[in-house]
Amino acid sequence: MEAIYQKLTEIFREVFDDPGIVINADTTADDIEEWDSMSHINLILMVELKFNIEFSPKEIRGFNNTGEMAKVIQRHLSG
Amino acid sequence: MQLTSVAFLFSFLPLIFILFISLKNSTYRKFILVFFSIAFYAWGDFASLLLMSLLTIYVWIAGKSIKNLNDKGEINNFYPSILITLIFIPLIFYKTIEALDLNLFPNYPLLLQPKLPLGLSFITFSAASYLIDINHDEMEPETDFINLALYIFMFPKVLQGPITKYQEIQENIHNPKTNIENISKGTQRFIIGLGKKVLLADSLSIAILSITNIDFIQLTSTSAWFGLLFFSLQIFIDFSAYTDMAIGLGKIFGFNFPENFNFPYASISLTDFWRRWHITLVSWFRQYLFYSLEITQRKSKFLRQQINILIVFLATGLWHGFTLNFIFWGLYNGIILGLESLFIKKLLVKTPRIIQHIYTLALIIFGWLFFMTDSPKTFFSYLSTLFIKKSGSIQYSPQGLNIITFIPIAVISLFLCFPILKKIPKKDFRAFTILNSFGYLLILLLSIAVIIKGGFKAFLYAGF
Repeated sequence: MEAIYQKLTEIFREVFDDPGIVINADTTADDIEEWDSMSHINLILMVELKFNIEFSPKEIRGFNNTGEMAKVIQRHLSG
Repeated sequence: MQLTSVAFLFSFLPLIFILFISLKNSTYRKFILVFFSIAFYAWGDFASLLLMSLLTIYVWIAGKSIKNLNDKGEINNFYPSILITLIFIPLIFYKTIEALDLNLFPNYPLLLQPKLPLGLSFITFSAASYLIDINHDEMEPETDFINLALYIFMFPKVLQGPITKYQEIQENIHNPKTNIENISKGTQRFIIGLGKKVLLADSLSIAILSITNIDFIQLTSTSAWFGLLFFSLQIFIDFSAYTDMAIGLGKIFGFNFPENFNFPYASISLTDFWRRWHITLVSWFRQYLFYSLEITQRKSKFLRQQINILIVFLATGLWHGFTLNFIFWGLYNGIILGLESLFIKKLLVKTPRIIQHIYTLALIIFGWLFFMTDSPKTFFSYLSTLFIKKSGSIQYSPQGLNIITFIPIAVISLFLCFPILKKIPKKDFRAFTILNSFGYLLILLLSIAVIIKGGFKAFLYAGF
């Protein structure tokens, strides 16, 4: 799981162009100023690309914080 | 029934309030709220009450059916999507009739002629959010029909919103209760809305009608500018006044309705404006349409976001009406927001704040021209009058009304468009509290005087 958060931190820094971002399980859109519905899909796309996975629409709608996203990523990687 | 009518202020509201606080049992309170809300709706549009009741029963059955289908492992979402889509049929039907001015049953009496039921756009979108949220597994369907009926008909929001998601007021619906603080804060908010509507928006409306209710050939450039600027103030003051009254009334009965405006004219881009204007409608489109389009088409590379923004704003325009002016208004906003997301926003942030405000206000005000005019011909006629000088009296509208006398009302309205009052620190000493209460009392008495005199006009957004 640690490796997933590390990679997510890199992706978030790239998408939101902010090298100071550090991701943990509780990070939500409220914590990152640029994280809105417009940038959210770009973030999802980048996560799918870098982890080489594909989320279902239901999974994407269920991402309320980074912890939930990391759990789904782990499930895809182990499945 | 209008929130600013004598019948509402002096009969309906006192009666429902007294009954509500006298009853301690939450089931009785719910029955009172539902009964009065249905009576409130029937007073305004008795002919549509049957349709609205059928729509509520449909939402009740469809909600349970969607849940059952999903529990049985409905994979491709086909049947739930059909059930959700059907909720839009009455809205599309009536908006089409309205736009094409169809007379489907010429021999029927006036009462039975199909016309857009009051609040149908707002009711449909609330109902759709209920069904979509069940389909997305974000909530369970309501088990008690009376709760759903209260959600659909709740009188402060049934005619003009705010478009409220079920989950936002679920607790309030299940157990309606209030306290002194809610009643006090709710009353203050209601009085602010009442004053904004009766003292400001309706006064501006007199000036605007005197300018626009004529053949535009007679318009002078100065009158046209006054008309456009006054309309920009009126549409915000009028609609936000209704929201203040709805939120205030909700609060009095312990309901927390969502905010609909956040000083939209203080925006620094058109994108920013659409986060602050009619927030509950834009949130609806963002959550249920834009986001779904983005998710399903996320692999598409060619201007994906811009095309989706355009689709969403075309839909926003259509929500207001199936007429050309609203379609063009939607496209106008969609194109500019698309361009902002491509490059304009990056350029704007490098400019001084004042330039960002001027750019945004110019676009917003120009956009209202689509609202003011009802055909491409009148749009271009008004537009040419604005920019090609047509001289005439500066002071008087073509109907002879002295426009200058409305400037103080316009200045007060302008003052309310910006967060100036919010910046004044709230003092907690006795003199301030007395002054504050006196202010509310004064606004209330002045508004009542105007209402009794018969100066009331319908809300602009009541037509949607």
